[in-house]
Amino acid sequence: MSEGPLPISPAPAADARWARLLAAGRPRGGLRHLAGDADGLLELASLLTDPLSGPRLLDLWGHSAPGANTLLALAAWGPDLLLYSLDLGGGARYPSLGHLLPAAHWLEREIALSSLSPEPMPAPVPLEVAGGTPVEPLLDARGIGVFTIPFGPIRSGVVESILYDVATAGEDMLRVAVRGGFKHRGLERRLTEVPIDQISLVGERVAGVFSVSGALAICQAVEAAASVEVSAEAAGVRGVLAELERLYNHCDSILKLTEDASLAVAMAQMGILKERVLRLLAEISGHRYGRGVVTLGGVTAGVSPKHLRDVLRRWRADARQVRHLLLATNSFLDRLQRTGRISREDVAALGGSGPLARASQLPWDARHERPQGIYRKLLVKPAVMSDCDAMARFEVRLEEMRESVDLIERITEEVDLAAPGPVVPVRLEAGAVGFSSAEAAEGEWTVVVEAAAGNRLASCRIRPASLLNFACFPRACEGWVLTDFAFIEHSFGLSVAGRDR
Amino acid sequence: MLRWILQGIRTGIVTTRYPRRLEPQPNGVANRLAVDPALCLPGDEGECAAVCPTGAIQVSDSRFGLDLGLCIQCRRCVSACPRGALSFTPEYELAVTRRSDLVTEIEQR
Repeated sequence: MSEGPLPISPAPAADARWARLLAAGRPRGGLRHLAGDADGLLELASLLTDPLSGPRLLDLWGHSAPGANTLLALAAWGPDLLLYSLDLGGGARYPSLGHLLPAAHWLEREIALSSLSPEPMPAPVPLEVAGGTPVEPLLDARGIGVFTIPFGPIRSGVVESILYDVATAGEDMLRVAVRGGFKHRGLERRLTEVPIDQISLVGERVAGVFSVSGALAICQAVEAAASVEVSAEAAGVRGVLAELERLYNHCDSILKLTEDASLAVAMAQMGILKERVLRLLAEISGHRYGRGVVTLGGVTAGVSPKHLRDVLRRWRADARQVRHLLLATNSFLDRLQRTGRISREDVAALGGSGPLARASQLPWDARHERPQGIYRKLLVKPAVMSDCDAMARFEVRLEEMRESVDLIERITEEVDLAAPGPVVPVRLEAGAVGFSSAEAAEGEWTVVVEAAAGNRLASCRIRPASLLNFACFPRACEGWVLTDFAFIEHSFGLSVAGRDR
Repeated sequence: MLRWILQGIRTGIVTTRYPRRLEPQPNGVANRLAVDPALCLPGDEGECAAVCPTGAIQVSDSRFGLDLGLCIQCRRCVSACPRGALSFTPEYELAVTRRSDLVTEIEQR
């Protein structure tokens, strides 16, 4: 059932402390930057313990360099962003936040793979596989008849590599653990090595199905660091591509759900809808995933608004028909209703975003909370559902597909997509910092960059939605039966490539 | 279920006869990068090679080399070539059985 967006209500005490921290920060590239000590970090963490009514942790990561280790925490409350940096000098230890903030738990397990070390360690098992070493069992589940099924990292079909360890006594999933990193490519470092005009190419390759979102998040962060604003027309083209990307990804997620339910005709229908969006993207950009258009300082091509509207008008009519049939197919809905429930509190605490969060009553949508580019004009209203299950996530996607077409139509009315104008040159000053977020189909991606001398990046942090959404996955699985696993996994719709980056 | 069957019948057959009949690609889709030897001239400064992010293009001693195994179809070389010698063809069947078949070299004249 659909509800209007829930208000983000401020808690008065946290409000004043948050405002004080923000005021102490220096404005830099779309956020406020505050350098402080370990006590300040813990004070910030204490403010983030109630993400339902106050600020929340978006990211936590470290920079390691000889004699210059730094821990960085990114927190947000609606449009206000605070980047807190803790200079560790040559030291490696810092006070762990994972014990205060569940969202920090996974992030610290990733940090623990570098030379930085949270104290105490958040978990004895590293989040990622260590290169080449055998994977030890993640779960120590005991009990009469209890055994662990290692599911992955290689599975049948063309599926990304990730390992799920499922502890079961035969039917119920008692515990689930996730481990990735099998195809880590070091893309954040790569972004510091390539010339600045090639960062969009790397951004597009963080996760293939989120090519537009990846390029957009990284380009917007660098543009924020350089105080560059792209033209409204270029922002419009970017918005169109981002919404088309959302459309085909949501189609794909629903397609997989219908496949799980063995609804062959429904699967074919969703496949047709997805393919038509991919072909439209190919016509617009020359690439089925929309690569090559979003570039630093603008876009490389315009879009014919008439053709776009014509194609989407027919697409919307057909999608409406399929939606109507899906919502009338009880054998399908039965598999989704109440399956993979994860509470609003759990999603918020673990830092979930995207359809996962919005299906659990959280009105979190970067296009709404922290709008950038064309979204500042569009005033996106998040599609929020209340049942917290696979059905609610399916309904969020249906609603967002309808809304994406509306948004594209509105963009064609707002700006001249056929003439996006020239690409704006971007010149970075050493030490400049920039932030960006992009609401991909899987959730919010955040990027923080820092510039080096010579118009290059000194560092680039990418936090794809899947990194934290995967932390929610075990919670959604536990207590459900093994045959629900595929429905839960596909209702999350996450990218492993983005998580592994 | 009957409604799904009717929906399927209404939609009809959308699969194509590929590979028996090649399916045309939308205009502008980047598939195989091709060079026109008549337009690729010695003395060109190798603008294409300079913008190639993967080193798929090498220009030296009046020779132009293209390695399709490295090309990521970013189209930067097409925009950079001052003579329009590079273009993407509609051909998308790029699989070969020998790595060397992906490498093209021409003598610039």
